[in-house]
Amino acid sequence: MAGQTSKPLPLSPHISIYRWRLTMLASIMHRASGVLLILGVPLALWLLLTMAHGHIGYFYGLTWMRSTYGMMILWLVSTALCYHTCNGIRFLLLDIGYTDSREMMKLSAKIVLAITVVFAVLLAVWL
Amino acid sequence: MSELIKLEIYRFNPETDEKPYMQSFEVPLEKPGMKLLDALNYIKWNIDGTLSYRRSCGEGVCGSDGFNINGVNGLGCITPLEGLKQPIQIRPLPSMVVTRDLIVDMTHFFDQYRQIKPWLQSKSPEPENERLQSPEDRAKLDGSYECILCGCCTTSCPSWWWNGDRFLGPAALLQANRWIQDSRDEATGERLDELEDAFKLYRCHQIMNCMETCPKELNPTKAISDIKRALTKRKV
Amino acid sequence: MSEKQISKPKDLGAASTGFDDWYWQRISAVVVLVLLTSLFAILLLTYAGRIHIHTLNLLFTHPIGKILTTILVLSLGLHIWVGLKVIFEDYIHFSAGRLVILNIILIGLIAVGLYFMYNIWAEVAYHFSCIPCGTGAK
Repeated sequence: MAGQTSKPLPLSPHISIYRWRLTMLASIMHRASGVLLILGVPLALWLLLTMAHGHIGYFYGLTWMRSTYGMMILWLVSTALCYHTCNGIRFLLLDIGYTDSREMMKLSAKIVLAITVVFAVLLAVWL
Repeated sequence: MSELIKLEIYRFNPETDEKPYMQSFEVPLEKPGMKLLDALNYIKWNIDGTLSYRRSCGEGVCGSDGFNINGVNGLGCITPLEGLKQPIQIRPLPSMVVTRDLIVDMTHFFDQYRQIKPWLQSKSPEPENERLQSPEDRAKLDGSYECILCGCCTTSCPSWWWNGDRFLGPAALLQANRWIQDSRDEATGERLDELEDAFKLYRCHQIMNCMETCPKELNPTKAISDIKRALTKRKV
Repeated sequence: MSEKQISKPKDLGAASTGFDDWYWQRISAVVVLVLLTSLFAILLLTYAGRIHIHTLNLLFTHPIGKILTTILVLSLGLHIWVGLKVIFEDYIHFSAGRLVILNIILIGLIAVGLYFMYNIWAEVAYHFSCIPCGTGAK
């Protein structure tokens, strides 16, 4: 012990080794989609307002939305919104005391992820 | 001739090692139903006596042999060897100061437990006989009292990894809720006061690793939700 | 790493904060849930050509449309503010740094919010301001 005490002891590894569980993924995706939406939603809102207020804006906006870029961004933001909304409802239900059993917590994460995947595929086909 | 099980174990001796490393071992599967702790014991008694880890009861009651097993926290003594992906990687509980090998410093964890004052507090005069509780009120403690304070949940929580110095963590909060729900406890208001803090309580973002990892199959995420609801009820 | 090793009980008490963030995050979430999903439906329908410019114009120039958009922008701003605040509290442990970043974000959000308010209400304000002098917008 003597003379050794000054050397700092290591901290055991955490994020680098912890296995990803579905509920953990659901939580971090809620955060990631939220950050994405902070950029995407004001853009969409601004786009709509511009389109609503004049002919030039309308056709410019429509052209942009139908370009490859516009379509990709529209798809990405819509998918993020779908996920953030579904998982948000999941969290809200939990907060008011529904679906808070161990089984439902896991099942609801699966449902939310499944809905988002289906939505993303359908939207990609439709766009 | 028995089947050999491959393990990789986190090793660190503060007196000789500069850095922690993973060491491989092979252990024979001696009997069906062998647990992970049996494999560790086999290594300690037959291969390398310097391997250090905590254990006591060996049947999931004392809560001393919490490890990170293949990336998920659990108790060595109740985790069956069969079904685990090999090589089985065993590390100490995450985001803890390692004293040696699989032994971590639990001081801070127990400090946080002490912070929620885990004892019955009363103001009314001492009753003649015991403090009575209806079966319904007693049932509210189910899912809390079973906690053995192994630390698996708290050390699985990313919020605790980033803010463990302030966030109390799932284990302490599960116990906080246990006393908030207890019909005999008369310090509910003070308990809620002490938890109403952006860091102590509200760092929980429903990641649910605690619920997934709990070896006693408890639900600390729900307990934290219960506390948040109790705080909401007294405000709105 | 090192601060964890000085394992002393350092209970600073509760700051009586956190509840408001948590509560308003959820209240704004419900408002945003209804209004924003409608908005995105409108956006996608416009993309599909199902909503024509006249309908779109009517939706956003009608007083009810304007009021709903205003409520949406305000709730969204609140939701974004609390969301970002919680994220920065999680990951930035240097209090002074967090203070600076969060206040810059707050000012930025207010600025963007005001810009949206201008977009939504400017012509109405213009309309009203010009009535007395007889040179109204219409």
